[in-house]
Amino acid sequence: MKRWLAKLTIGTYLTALALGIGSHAMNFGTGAHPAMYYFIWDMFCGWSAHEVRYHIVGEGESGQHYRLSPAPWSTFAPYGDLERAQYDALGNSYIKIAMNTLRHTDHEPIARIFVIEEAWPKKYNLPENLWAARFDEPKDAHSYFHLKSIYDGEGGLIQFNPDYVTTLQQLAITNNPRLRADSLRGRPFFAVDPAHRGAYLMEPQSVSPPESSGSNEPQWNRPSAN
Amino acid sequence: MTVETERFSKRLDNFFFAPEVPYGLALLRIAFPIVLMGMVLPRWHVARELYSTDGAPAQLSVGYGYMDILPEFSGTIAVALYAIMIFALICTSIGWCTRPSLIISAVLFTYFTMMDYVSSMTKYTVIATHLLTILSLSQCGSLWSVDSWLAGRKRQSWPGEPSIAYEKFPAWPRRLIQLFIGVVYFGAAITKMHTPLFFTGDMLQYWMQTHINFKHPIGEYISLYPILLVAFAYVTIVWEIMFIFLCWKGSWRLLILPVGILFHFMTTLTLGLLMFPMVCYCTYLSFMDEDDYRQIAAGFRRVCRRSAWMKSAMTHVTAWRERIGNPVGWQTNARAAFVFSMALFAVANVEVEHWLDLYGERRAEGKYTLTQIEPDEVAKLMAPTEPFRVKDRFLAVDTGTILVGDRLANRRTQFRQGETVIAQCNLIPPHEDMYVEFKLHDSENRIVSRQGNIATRELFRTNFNYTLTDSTPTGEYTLVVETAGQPVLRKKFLVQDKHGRAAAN
Repeated sequence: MKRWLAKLTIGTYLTALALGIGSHAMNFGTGAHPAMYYFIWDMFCGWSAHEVRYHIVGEGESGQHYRLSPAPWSTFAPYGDLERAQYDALGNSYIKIAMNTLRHTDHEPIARIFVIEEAWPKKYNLPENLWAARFDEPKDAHSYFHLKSIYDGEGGLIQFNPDYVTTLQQLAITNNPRLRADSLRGRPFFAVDPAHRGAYLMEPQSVSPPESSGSNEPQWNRPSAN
Repeated sequence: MTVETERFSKRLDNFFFAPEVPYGLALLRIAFPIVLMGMVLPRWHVARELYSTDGAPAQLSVGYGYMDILPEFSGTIAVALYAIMIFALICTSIGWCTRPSLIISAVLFTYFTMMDYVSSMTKYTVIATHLLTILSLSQCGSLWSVDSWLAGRKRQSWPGEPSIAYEKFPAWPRRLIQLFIGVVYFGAAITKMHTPLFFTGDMLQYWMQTHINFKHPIGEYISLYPILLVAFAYVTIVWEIMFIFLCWKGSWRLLILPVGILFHFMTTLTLGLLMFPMVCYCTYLSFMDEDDYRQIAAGFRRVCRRSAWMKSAMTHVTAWRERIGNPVGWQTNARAAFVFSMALFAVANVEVEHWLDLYGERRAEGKYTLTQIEPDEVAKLMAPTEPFRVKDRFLAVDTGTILVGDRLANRRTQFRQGETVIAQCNLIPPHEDMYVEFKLHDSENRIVSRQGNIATRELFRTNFNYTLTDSTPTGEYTLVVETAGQPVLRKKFLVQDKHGRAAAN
C-alpha cells in the first residue's frame, strides 16, 4: 500500500513537471492559473534596453505633492537598494502601496494619485571609467518621465496608459503616414466632442479602466530569478 | 521484448526504490532552511506590510486574472504565522519534529510568497516550495537530527563511523529532487530558445547593465564584450539541456555539477543574483549518495587524525553526549515541547513586532507625515513626456576587422593599409525605421567616404565597411554616425601604413 502511494506520488509529480515543460515549450496555457507559475521555468524571459523606476505621487487638495513610495517608515529593499514598488512590472500593487502609505500617515486630503515612470537607456548605467573606455562622447544621461496612471483619492482608477517602452514601440510603428491613413479608413463613428476627433487615430492612447487592457498573461519582464 | 520491458521496469524500480541511507537529503534538510533565512528574515519586520490586511499585499493570482484567491489575515495573525514559519524552518534544520516542521514550512512559505508577488515571489521561492514539499515526504530527519537523537540513534552520528546501523529508505524523494532540478534547467533552456536575442548576446548585455538586483560590477564590464556573451549563451544552453541526462553518475557528473556551481557563481558576479545560486547549490546536495558520503567521511577521518585540536574537540563532544545519556524517554515530552515552543515563539514575535511599531502609530510625536516633493521635481515629474532624443536611439559605434555572428569580435582603433575597417553601429530598441549615415572624416576634417544604410525597426545593429588601400593616407580618421542630418556618434581611429608605421607628422 505504502509503495503504491509512493508510486502514485512519483507519477503525479513527474506528470505535473512534464505538463509544465510541454505547456512552456508549446506556449500554451502558461498563464491559465497561478499554479502554472510553479511549473513554468521562465527565468529572465523578458528584457528591456531601458531602465525604469516608478514614482508614486499624491497630490493634496492644497496642490502640494507628496511621495507615497517608499513610505516614510520603510527601509525594506528586497533585492538590493530599491524599494518594493520598483519590482512591480505588472503595476497591480502601486495603488495598494499608495493607499497603505496614506492609511498610516498624517496628511491633508489627497485629491489624486499619480504613477509616473522614469526611464532612461541602460547605457547610462555604465560607470564613468567604463563609459570613457567605450565611448568617445561625454556621458549625457537623460531621464524620460511618462505618466502611467492616475487614481482618485480613494484609489479609483481615472486614467491608465501603456508603459513607456510600449509607447515607444507603438510610436515606432505608427510613425508611418500610410498606416495612419489606413487606420482611419472604414471606421465610421460620430464625433460628439471635438476633442475626440482623433480618437481612432492609430497611436498610443490612454485606456481606462484596466480590465479592457488585454489578456491575463503575466508579463514577467523583471528578473524573476531573484 | 518482454525481457527488455522487465529489465526496464526492474531498472526503474531500482532507480526509485533502492534502499539507501538518506545522507544527501539530511544535508539538504540542514542547509536549505539556513539558506532560506537569507530571504525570510529580512521580511520579518515588514510581514505586516507585505502579507496582511493592515498592509499592501499583492497576491500572485491577480496577475493571472484570479482576484485574491488566498485568505488575507490581520496584521497580528500574519506576524504570528510568519513567526511559526521561521520556527518551523529552524526546527527543520535541526531536525526536531522534522516532518511536521517541513509540512508547516512548506504550507506557510508557499502562502506568504503567493501573498506578495512583488517582493517575495520569485523562481527561487518556487524551487524552495518544491524542495520543502518533497522533503516533507522523505525520511530526511532520520539522521543527524534531534529526532534521531531522541530515538536513540545517536551513537552513529559522526561522519566516518560505521553506517551499517542506519535505517535505509527508498531513494525516490532524492530522485524526485534530482529530476526536479534537471527539469528546471531544461525549462530554463526552453525559455532561452524562445528568446532569439539571447543568442546574439543582446539580452544578456542589457541584463548585465540593469541596476535592479544586487551590485554586479563585473556584469557591466563583461557587457562591453558581447562576443563573450554569445559564447556564454551557447555554453549555458547546452549545459542546461544536458544536465538532466548527464548529472547521474560517473565522470559526466564530475563535469556537469562543477559547471553548474561555476554558472551560478557567475550569475552572482554578472547579474547580482544571491539567493538563486544558494538555493540551487542546496539542490546539488541531493546528488550525494552513500559512496560520496563514504569518501567524504574517510577524508574527514584523515583530517581528524592529523589535527590534534579536532581530535580533542571530538573527544569532548563525545564525552558530553555520554553525560546526557540516552534520551529515548524524552520523545513524548519533546513533541509537547515543540508545540509549546512554537506557540511561545509566535506570541513573543507578535509582542516584539507590536513593540517595534512598524508604522510608527504609537510614537510620542504621532504618526509619520508624508514626504513633500520639491516644486522643481514635481515640474519634472508632471511635465508631458519629452520627445525621445535621437542620440538615445543609438548605443555605440565600434570599429574592428572581424565579425562573428554579426558581432564585432575585435574592437580596435588602429588599422593598417590593406585592412578592411568594419564599423558597427549598435542601436537601442525600440527605435523607428532610420536612415543611418556613416561619414568618414580625415585628419583635416574632409569627408573621404560616405555610406548610408536603412536601419529598419527590428535591427539591433548596422555595419559599414571601408577598405584601406595603399592610397589611403595614413593618419587619424573620425567616423561620424548621423541620422536625419544630425551627428549622433563619433569614433576616432588611426590608419598606419602596411608596415604598422604611423604618419611621420
